Amino acid sequence: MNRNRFEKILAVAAAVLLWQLAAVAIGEEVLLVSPLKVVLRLSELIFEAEFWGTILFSFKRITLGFFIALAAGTALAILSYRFRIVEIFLWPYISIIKATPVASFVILCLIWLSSSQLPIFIAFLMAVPIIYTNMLGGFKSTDRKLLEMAEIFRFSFGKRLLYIYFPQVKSHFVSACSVSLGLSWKAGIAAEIIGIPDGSMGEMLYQAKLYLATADLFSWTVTIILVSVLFEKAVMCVINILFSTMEGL
Amino acid sequence: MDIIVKNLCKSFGEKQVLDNINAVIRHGETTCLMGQSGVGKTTLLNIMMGFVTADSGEILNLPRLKSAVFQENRLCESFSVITNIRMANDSLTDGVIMQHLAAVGLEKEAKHKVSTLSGGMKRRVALVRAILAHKEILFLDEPFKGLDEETLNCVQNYLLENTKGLTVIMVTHQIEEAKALGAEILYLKNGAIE
Repeated sequence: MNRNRFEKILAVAAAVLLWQLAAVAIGEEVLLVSPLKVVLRLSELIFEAEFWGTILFSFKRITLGFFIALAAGTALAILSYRFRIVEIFLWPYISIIKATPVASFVILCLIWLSSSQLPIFIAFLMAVPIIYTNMLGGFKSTDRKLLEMAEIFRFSFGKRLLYIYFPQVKSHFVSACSVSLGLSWKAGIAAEIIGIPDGSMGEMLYQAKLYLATADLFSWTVTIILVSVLFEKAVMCVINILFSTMEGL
Repeated sequence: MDIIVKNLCKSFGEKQVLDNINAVIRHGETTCLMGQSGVGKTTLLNIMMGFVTADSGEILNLPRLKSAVFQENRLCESFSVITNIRMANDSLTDGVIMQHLAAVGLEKEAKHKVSTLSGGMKRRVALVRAILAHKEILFLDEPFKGLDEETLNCVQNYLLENTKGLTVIMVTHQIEEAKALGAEILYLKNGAIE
């Protein structure tokens, strides 16, 4: 185990210990439940079929929103890079989406969409400006000298994408995915808490708050963090494999 | 057909870089543009390659299919040597590429990523790519930059062998390099050809 990893584990252990001490000191489970209680509650939940169904419900919607944002953000970035007029006309929309609070969008969108569609749209909305801005920045930073080389050797559009643009935007794409994945989950769950679609993780959090079931609240929060982190790791792994495959061509 | 450069002028702001250039570049032969730094050799090359527009004048009979070794190597660093060469010409077989790499002493590096190569090795990859692109005209901007003495001879022989009958326009500061390729020399001074 390397030193960095060991230090991180030590920091997490210290945080959990502090949490346990605080819970003991407060002595009121409704206010702060102990980590031990959370682990016990989680170990009960994982044996319930409804638990996995709830995770699947939110997972499907939030990841769908993220992937639509990934496709749309990339496509819009390519269009904006190719046609400046597209970038100019998109600028107000992207700026508004970036500046508007998630809650405002959620409440507004509840008028147009069903509560079960809401997390898809909100996850999409939060991810798309990040992906668009990062990808456009990546395209704009493409080495002009390599583009001249491509012109001399008459590269097709596909070749330019594969050999020049993809390697240049790789780091921008990876950072866009990393940031927008976490944000999609946070915003998607926030949308579920406000919209309360049946059988969602947001609904479970809302119920836990309603009945002051602090152990449930913490257990669902831990679950959301774990699912979000695992999904991010999986997506990053796939992206790295894809880029490595391309470079090996 | 010979390439004819007629009354070519180019300035950047106040600075007149090319001042009424007239020249004939022989078809199927190597022509070398020489002159001091900043005299406009690369500008002239860039106009012929189509990256810079001349203020006035024209170039006649310039072939459409071009190949080049740029001042910088301009290789796709995250891809292998063999992939970089094939980028310029899809029809190349591994055998042909390996044969050319062997001629410049790079057969062992064929599958290495370009980013892992030394400056001299990258230069040789750029040269092989330009030769194997099989175009009608080859532009060479200081093609031997960064090569050591031993490699230089090997690469000059490789170029000499593979540019027979091809129109080549080369920029260099070294008269020996021009002589090694049997090039006709056009000397640029004060923005004009002497």
